[in-house]
Amino acid sequence: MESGKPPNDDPATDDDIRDAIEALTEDDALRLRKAAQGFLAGTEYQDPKELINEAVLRAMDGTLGSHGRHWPKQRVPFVAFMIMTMMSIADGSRESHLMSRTDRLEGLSLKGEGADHVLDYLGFWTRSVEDEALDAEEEAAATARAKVDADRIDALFAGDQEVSWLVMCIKEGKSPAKARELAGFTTTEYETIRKRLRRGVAKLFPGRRSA
Amino acid sequence: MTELNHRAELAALRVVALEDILSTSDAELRKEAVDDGEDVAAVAADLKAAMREAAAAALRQRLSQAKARMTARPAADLGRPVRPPMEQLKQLIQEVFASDRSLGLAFREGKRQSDADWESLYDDLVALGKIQPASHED
Repeated sequence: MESGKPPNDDPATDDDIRDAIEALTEDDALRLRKAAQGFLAGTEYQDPKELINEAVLRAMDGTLGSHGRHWPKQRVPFVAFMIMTMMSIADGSRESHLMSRTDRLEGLSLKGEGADHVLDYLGFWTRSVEDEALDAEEEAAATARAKVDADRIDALFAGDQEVSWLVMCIKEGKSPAKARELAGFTTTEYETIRKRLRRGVAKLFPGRRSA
Repeated sequence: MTELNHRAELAALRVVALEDILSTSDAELRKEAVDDGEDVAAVAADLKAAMREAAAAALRQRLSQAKARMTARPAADLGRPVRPPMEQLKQLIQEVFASDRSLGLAFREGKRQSDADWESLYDDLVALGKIQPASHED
C-alpha cells in the first residue's frame, strides 16, 4: 500500500454514515464507548460521548471531500474507522505518533472484529487540516491538560508495581513490547497488566464535568 | 519529563488502550460493563441516539451555512429561483425528501409548514442543488 494516500474507495455518503450508526450492535456501541474512555485522558472532551460525537461530525464532514475524515467504507468497518478517528482527534497534536503506532501494532495478536482493517487503515492514515491548525493557545492548554492527567494516572497506579513499570517504560519512550521483555512478563501477564491500565484509566476519566 | 512529553506519554497510553480494546472480545467487553454495573442495552441505545443526533446536527449546520451564504449575497446577485405554484412546489419538495433521507432528518422537526416555510425551504433546496428550477419552468 502506498503510505499516506488513501485508496480510491467508493466514498461514504451522509446516508452511509447514518445507516452505519443505525446498524451498530450493542457490542459495537460498547466497543466504541470503551475505546473513547481509553482515549479521553489529556483531551478537552468532558465525556466519552463527546469524543464519539466529534468523530461522527468529522465523518460527516468527510463526506464533502475536502474536510473531516473520509471513511473508506469498502475497506474499513465503520467501528474500526470510528475508533481510529477518535484516536486521531484525542491525539490532536502536532507530534505524530502514527509511525510508532504502526510499528507497535504490527504483529499484534488481535481478537477484535475488524482489527485487521484498523491495521490496514493505519497504513494510509493521514493527518487532517484540523490537526495541523491548533494554535498556540490550544497547544498550551493541551500540554497543561496532559501534565495534569499524566500525574493523575501516575497517582492512580502508585501502588501497582506492574502497571507502574509499564507506564514508566512508556514515559521513557520504550514500546510496550520492550517493557514486557525487560520485565520478563509472559504474554498473559502483560495482557492482564495492559487491561488493568486501560480499565483504570477509563475509570479515572469517566467524565470531567463538575457537578 | 517535559510537558510536551506528557502528551507523547498519553498518546502512547492510547496505543496501549487501543491494543487492549482490539484484543478484547465482545463477550469480555460486555462482561466488563456488567461487572461495572452498567446496563449494556441502555448504554448502547444512549450512544446510538447521541450519534444519530450528531449526524443530524451536522446536516442542519450544513443547511444553515448554505442558507447563510445565500442571504449574504447582494439582492441583485441572489438570483432567487422562480417558484412554481404552491402545490407544485410542495410536490417537488416532497419528491426531494423522498429521494434523500438525509434532508428529511435535517428537517424532521418541521412537521407542519406555512406557505412561507415551504417557499423558504424550496429556496434552500434550490441553493443546495437538490431542486433544479429549470425542472419545473416551462
